[in-house]
Amino acid sequence: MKIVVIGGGAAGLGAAGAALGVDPSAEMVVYTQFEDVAYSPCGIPFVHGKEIESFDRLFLATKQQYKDQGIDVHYETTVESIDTKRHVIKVQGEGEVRYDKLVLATGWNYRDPNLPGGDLKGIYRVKNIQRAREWDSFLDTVKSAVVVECGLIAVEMVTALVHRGIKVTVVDPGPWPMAEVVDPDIVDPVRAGWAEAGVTTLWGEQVTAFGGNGTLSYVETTAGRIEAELAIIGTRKVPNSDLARAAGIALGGTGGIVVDARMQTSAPDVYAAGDCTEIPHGVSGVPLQGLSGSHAYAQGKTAGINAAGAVREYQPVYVPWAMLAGEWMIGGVSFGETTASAVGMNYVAGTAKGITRARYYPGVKPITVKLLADPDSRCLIGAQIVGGEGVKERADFLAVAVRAGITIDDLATMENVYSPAIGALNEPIQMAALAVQQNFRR
Amino acid sequence: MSFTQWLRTNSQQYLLADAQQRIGRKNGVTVYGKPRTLKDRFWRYIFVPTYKMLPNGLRESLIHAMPGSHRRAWPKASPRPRPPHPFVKINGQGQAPRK
Ligand SMILES: Cc1cc2nc3c(=O)[nH]c(=O)nc-3n(C[C@H](O)[C@H](O)[C@H](O)COP(=O)(O)OP(=O)(O)OC[C@H]3O[C@@H](n4cnc5c(N)ncnc54)[C@H](O)[C@@H]3O)c2cc1C
Repeated sequence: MKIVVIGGGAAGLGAAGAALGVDPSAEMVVYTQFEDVAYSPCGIPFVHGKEIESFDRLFLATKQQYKDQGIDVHYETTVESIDTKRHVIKVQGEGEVRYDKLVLATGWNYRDPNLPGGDLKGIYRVKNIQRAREWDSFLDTVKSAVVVECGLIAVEMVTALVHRGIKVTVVDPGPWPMAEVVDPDIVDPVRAGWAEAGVTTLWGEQVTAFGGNGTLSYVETTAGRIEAELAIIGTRKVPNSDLARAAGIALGGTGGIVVDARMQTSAPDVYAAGDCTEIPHGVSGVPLQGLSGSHAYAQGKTAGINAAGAVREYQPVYVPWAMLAGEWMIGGVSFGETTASAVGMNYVAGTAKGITRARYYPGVKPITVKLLADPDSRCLIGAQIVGGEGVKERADFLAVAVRAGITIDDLATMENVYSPAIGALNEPIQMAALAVQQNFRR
Repeated sequence: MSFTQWLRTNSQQYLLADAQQRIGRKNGVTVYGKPRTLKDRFWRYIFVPTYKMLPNGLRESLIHAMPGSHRRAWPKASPRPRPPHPFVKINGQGQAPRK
């Protein structure tokens, strides 16, 4: 059996590896437009910020290791079209290539802000590791940068640029950072940290043009002109699903490829995984697109296993997320107040401020947890967290809690670890659940 | 862009902007962004209030009727709330925790 994977990111490599795990005799071919596969793009902002000393550290395996595993990766090779009826793809420089099973893992792009001057040098879309290496030396020459819209990756880049001593101005039509996913009270410490670090923020404003003579030297915004040698594009992720669309494969309202739990698309023997797809949200059922690398990898494995002839089902998602934002860790699960209000979902919320270790233990940090519960079932439907540490573990735990249909009363009576160096007597999740219970009684 | 994509993109943008304004206000954050164009006005003053007026059930049916991955086969969510544990009787301050 010949399995062809289009895409060498988390989803594509996840699919290839998992498929070979099921059927080691399968012929496995992966196409990528990039020079490399199997690096962690997630680490790029931290190399730029100099927390990690080299891009080489981001590679997970060598090209030879993939060869040895039986994965034939075609680098810098574009797949131009798919003929799902004939089970054939057209590959640049190779012509027609037959497949028995095809996995689409074509990923995402930053939404194009479509602005005049968009082709000037100095406009950076953080993604490809080879380009990142080139940009890294350029960063040494930059004094002033503008971040165009402030999504999750852009927030990490703000921290990186600050660490490099670059003056940063954030311009975003939204009212606070990552306003598509996070609530204002939760992101408030991050905003305060940025202000302290000298980051200028222009909320409710838009970039209208890039200017300069071949190379960027200023950015025009609705709040006036900003001198800058660098612009970071931080717009939201959009699915790279053009190849699928052209092949007549069904796309959903997000523009992502429509899949079922086995990651099967509308075309026979064609699977899709990662940020080119859309996946239903576990609470609302609304399809979501542009999740994370960990989602892409898990979906890739599901697609690969099914493509190779075994059966695995992926689940609707509750999207735990967490990240470093300046000096803070911030994260969440499923709904916050803003997103719940946007879809018109009723909720009762409660917030608690706690600490991450015993109050007397060195390095103790503050943490705030907000929980949202469904007024009818009292089930947890979402959470938002900001703190000095311990955010990722709580987000992962709460995602399972939402998925399992845990109620706020379960959480209010939860047991917790108390150990001075790693956890306080009062668990902030439990305290937040008590706050929700109290608000239920109001 | 297909009709469903156009609808999803715009409804998401304007429903989110409306929610950000309300939640921002509640948290003392001034949210700028007056409608600038005719398109802004349509979505902000006609679509958003209409969407909010719809009963929950109707809203859910309309969302479900849109094409997308949610219309394909997916494992069912766990029952909400979970069935009570047979051995534990919780009494959350005099309230039955599960209806
Ligand atoms: C700077 C940065 C930070 C990130 N941080 C995190 C993080 O902290 N946590 C996390 O979970 N995730 C993180 N991510 C991951 C990211 O947000 C995505 O979720 C992830 O990259 C999705 O993986 P994917 O395999 O679906 O797509 P992609 O990574 O976009 O890969 C797409 C692949 O498809 C190939 N391709 C596309 N079209 C064609 C074609 N026509 N022919 C041949 N090949 C094609 C591309 O060359 C590429 O190899 C980060 C990403 C970046 C860039």
